[in-house]
Amino acid sequence: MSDERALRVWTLIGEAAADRHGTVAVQDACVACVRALRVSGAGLSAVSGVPGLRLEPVHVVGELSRGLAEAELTSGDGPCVDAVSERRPVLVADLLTVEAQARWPLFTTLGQAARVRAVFAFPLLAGTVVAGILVLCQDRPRMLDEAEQARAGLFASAALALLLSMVTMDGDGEVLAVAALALGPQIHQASGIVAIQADCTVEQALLRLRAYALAADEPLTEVARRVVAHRLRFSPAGG
Amino acid sequence: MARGPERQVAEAFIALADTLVTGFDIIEFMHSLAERCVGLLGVNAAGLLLTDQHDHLRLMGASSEQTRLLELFQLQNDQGPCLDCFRTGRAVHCADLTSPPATPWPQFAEQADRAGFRAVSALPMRLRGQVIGAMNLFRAEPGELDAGTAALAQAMADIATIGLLQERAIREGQMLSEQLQRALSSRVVIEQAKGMLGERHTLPLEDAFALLRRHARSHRLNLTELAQAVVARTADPPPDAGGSPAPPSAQGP
Repeated sequence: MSDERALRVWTLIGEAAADRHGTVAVQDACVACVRALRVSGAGLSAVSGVPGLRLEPVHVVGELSRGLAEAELTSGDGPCVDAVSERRPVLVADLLTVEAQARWPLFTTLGQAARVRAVFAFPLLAGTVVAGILVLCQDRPRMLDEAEQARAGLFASAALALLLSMVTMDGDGEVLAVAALALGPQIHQASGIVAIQADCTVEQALLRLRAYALAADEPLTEVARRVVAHRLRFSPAGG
Repeated sequence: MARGPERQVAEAFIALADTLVTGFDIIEFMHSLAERCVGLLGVNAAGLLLTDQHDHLRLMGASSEQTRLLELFQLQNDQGPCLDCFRTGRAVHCADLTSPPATPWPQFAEQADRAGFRAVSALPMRLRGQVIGAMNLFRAEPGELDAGTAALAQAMADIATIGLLQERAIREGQMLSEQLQRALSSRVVIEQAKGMLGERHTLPLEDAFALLRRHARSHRLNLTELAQAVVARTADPPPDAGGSPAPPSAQGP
């Protein structure tokens, strides 16, 4: 029975690939999952190892999902981050509850501003390693029932297979293609630029960028884009 | 796309699904897939060739011993529709192996004829632009493969690709995952280094990248390692390292 469900999941993924006349890839797992579970959006992030654990969105489906990815990156916390460290699904039926706001004060504020209400984060486990996160979101409060959770789990293992295929099947396998960065390379480029401007490390520079985005109530990618375009500069801290 | 073939593909999937989940054996999977193709596509035989870790094609599944030999023959003699399909990434169809104009693979045509096959099709197994193998369909009667069957055949080739992905995720998941992390970290640190060099030397980011790459080449350094050193401020490639004139100084920062 579970075989048949796995089959249906892969068939839906195959259909999503056929719709865009492409071969099966991570985006098809996201699109198929949105259709199958009738959520507003889905995103897939890969976990990068150094320095410290970091989530890098490799695909987002829908504006809501993009907003969610920005909120996670800017705040540095949220259900996806927890799903990586706890190695289990983190399901939030409503971000506007007291519990959710107490657990992720920054993330819930940003998520709310992006009109995200429900978030379901599923870790992609490869052996003992969390390779990434499949995250679904909804613009209204909602819970996934048991069958839906099981289905999302099947999409997560399909997404894992597709995510892992990105290394061996793309380019030389040593450096991930720029195209694989769903939010673009600007955040990382801006971290380098600000590290020189503010005379600090790239990690500290990213913190400065995130703090600026929070204070200015601006998406992190937009702040990064302005830095790259030389329309925003940072000066040494404390000055 | 028509619902009919899709339903059939789904049924083929159901038949294969238990191999996918319990005790996954890729050889067995490819073998049953080849057998399944025969029934589903109305062909007489099917065979699957896949690349191994060293990018060499290997026979992974065949619906019959005859097919197995024909596939091995292609590999041995380095000629045949499956190899052409693998090299070009396009489907190769030959409606009649014995009628002129002669096929590009005379030896293969002869062998196929001896085995009782008159027509052959080869479909690529693709993954994001890269061809990882090819599926061969053999028919005893000459004639074109109709469009519906060709589409269905391509769907079966895609299923074979998915089976491979799943198998690799199970077998090499941890290793691939670590590789993915490294590949991602490399991309991140290269973008950071571009930003740093561009800002330090007032260069557009693409010039900063060119500088990074030039320095890595001329000093025989790995690009990622050089980027890491730049970010850690233990390396600072000079902008005129390649002998090209320094760019005209842009307006101050």
